[in-house]
Amino acid sequence: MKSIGDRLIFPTYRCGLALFPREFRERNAEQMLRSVSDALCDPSVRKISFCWLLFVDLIQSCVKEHSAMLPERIGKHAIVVHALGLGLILSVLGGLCMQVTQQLLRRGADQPQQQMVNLAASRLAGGETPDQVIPPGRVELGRDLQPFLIYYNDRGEPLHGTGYLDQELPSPPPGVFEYLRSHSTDAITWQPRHNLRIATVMQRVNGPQAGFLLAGRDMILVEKQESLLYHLSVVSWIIVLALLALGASLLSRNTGQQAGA
Amino acid sequence: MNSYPRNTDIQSLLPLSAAVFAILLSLAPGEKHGYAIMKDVSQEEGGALRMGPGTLYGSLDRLMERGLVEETGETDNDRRRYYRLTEFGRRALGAETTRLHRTVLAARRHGLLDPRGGA
Repeated sequence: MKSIGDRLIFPTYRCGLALFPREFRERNAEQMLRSVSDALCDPSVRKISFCWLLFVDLIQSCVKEHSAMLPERIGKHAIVVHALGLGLILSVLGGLCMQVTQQLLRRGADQPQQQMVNLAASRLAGGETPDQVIPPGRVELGRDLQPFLIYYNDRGEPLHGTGYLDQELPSPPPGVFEYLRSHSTDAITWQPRHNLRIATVMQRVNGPQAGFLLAGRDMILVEKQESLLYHLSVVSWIIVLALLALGASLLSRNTGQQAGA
Repeated sequence: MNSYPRNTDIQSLLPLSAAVFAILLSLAPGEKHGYAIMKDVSQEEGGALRMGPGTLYGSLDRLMERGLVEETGETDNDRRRYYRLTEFGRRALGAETTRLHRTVLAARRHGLLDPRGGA
């Protein structure tokens, strides 16, 4: 006569066998259940201890058998595994290339401004006044794409400049001036209003004309290039992955046919 | 017929794991079914190992692959499969026992064994 415990242990273990790899289960499940049944009928076996042994053994041997069959499974699907690995490597490399190109584009967007502030700062240091240093002309931010230059006094108030936003010389956030007092130069992306981003290079000016210089340029061209780069990268990535999948599928089919022949 | 044993040096199989040694030792007197092996290995003189069915049948699979153990091909009324040592398995068990014996002798020389037989 079997106890309720025995009646529970056996079906639970039978369900647990589903965790084993199919090949192992087909080969050994019947004998494993036979052994469990023998143990449950053995009066010398302590049921609670045996139940714990079954549980631990189930987990350990499942992990072991799945690990043991892994190389065989990989071998069966070697082409797919290699294609996945290659796809992953290409994706990572493609992503890195895109990031590098994007950074180069962004850094390139600062080059003219960098030259403008360097030149203007050296002229101010040489004794020229801001109105002599700031070139003539007017750039409407959000409409014109040319670089512009603005001079701010030591309190951060705009005095002379070529870049105008809503008929006024715009000012960056006050924190930028505080940062420049200790770091002398900075390159930031400044967004004076929604949908308008400026690639900005700022420099602290010391001496009789103490203040700050800001050179900026609308980033719309760079952003268009970045967007184009992003779309081209995604399309290329999808094409490469599709070709890889197609190649792997054809190779798998051919290999399967050769193995079957 | 498995050709593995003919091409395998027994020394390359050593040392055997405790579980494998206990299973081979259990089969040394003669053929046995799974639960009988499980009981044997749990005894003090059989290795005192707590071995569940998953570990036992996984080990038996690998031992059969290596040609150390084989199925007898016969089953009893309850459809239990029986296993026995192959000649190669018996030699491997002997080699491992010799290796362990040398280790025990060394331990005895170092005064690690109780003269009455206990540790």
